[in-house]
Amino acid sequence: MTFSRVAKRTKCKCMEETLCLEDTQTVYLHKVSNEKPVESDFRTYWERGKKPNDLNDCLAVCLHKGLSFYPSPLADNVVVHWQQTHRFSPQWKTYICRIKIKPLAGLIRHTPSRAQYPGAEHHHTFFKCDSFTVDRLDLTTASLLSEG
Amino acid sequence: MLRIAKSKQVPPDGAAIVDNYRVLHFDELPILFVGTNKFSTWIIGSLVEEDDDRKVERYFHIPVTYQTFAAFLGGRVSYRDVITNAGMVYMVDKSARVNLSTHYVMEPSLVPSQYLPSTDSFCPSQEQIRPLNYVAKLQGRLADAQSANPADLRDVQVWLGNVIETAYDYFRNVLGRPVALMLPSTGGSFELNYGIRFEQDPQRVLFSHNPELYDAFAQKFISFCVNDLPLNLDAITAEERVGAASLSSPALQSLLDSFTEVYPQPDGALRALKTSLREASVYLGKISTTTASESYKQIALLNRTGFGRDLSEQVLGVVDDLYNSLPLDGTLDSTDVVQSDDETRDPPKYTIIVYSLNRDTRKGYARIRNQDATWSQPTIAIEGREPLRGTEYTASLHNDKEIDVLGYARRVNGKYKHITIKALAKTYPT
Repeated sequence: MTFSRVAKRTKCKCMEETLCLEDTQTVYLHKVSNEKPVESDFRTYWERGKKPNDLNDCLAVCLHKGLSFYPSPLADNVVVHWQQTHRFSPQWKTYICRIKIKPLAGLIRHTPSRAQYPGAEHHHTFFKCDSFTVDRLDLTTASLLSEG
Repeated sequence: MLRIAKSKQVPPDGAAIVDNYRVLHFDELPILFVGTNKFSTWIIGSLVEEDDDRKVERYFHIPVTYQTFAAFLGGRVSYRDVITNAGMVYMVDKSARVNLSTHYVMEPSLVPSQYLPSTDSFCPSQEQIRPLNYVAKLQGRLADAQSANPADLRDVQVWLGNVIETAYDYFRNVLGRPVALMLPSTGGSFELNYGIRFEQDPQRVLFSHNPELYDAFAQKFISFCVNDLPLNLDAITAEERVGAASLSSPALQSLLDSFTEVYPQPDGALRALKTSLREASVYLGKISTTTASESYKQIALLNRTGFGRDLSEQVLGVVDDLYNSLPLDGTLDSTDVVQSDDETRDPPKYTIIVYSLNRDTRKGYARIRNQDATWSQPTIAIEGREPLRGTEYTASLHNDKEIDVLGYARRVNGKYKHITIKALAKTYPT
């Protein structure tokens, strides 16, 4: 797997091998906009044009270069946080996606969040490899509303 | 994405948040937030949706009255109700690529129902300000003209906040760290408004213990500090143990009873209570010293719940310059030796030089020699009703002249802290 898009336009080394794993066993939770997730549901902050204020802050840069995944069942309580979000923003990312990462899709790294919300300590960042497509993920979705 | 006519575009003045920005709920993006626009109107905002192709985030910005803002932060009004009852709704489109915002306005009734927050869209509990607000009404002098000297006000705002935080600080393990927040001043009078919020681990269920008990204690605590503490100094400094039949001061006993209902360690309750009373009284003492300023004569402390027709207020007490008379300068502890003249006997004579005097309140400051020949600068209170203009007191003030007075003094560790003057010791020639 190559990760030239992750390394592009930054000096930060987000893909240090000792920290990143290819994990095809764990089920991860990720929030998406579409019941049948499409490519845009897996665009990173960086790809959506958002960059951290400090481009020398490698933690922030790497978070922007990856996607937020939460391991299940360890971090299932993050759903409580998402449902809170849903109360205020009912049209934004209304679906929870349960994901298994297929081989050669990308690497994942444990990046616990310092923010205080349920599941924050189990936050993971998924880095897509250059040839990533949605079908490299094994997906099922459920709506946040039905979870509630 | 919801389509909005170009004709609905407006300048940013009313819609843009320029100050006091605070995120109440964050989830990848700011989901719920508050702030003020350039006119100092509060705005409650939320993320509406994202357009991934245009790389635009859209937000609601709802300008609200202070009453609505306080009701929302107090958990009494849902965000949905805020929107549906708003006079107008701003839509703000933020472009991630060009760092540009476009502002639109629309009537709340035109917001499609699927975009409205849910009926239980209340302010997240860890961000809520308790529905109980504390109010400090400045009274007298400039305050009566709804103005104040900023320098006088600056410290008082902090000190009053400290008193409120002290009242809740015992319970930080249960409620979280208390944070007194300045809320916008109420229109039409010079009032400082405070809310209290608890910074807490959100995974803990907030107020799982009955919160009203803590509020009730905090109110009693503040009321005691303002009204009873000056009269109960001896009880506070005395070495009394919990478990004794009762404290010598009924007011302190009542406060202690309220405290032990909510304090988790009854054995250490009295000691903890005394520590906090001393801490709060230091701040009140500082506030009291500023009552000699041009800004105000006294501060009435109240608590306020509800709003609109449900508004109710309870006066907790009035901070005036009485606190100046207390030996509570931050150093008082149980080892301090407090001596007061016996007021059942005739007042002894003291030789003083008045160096500050308010002829209206008849209170001020004087210099007096201690027994060790050093000087104290106690507060003084002159009893009586005769005008002070042209008396020996003002002569002492203007000419640095020693005068003899009869009064009752309070000393701490041999230093004079306060003299209540009954009369001049002799008739001075006019």
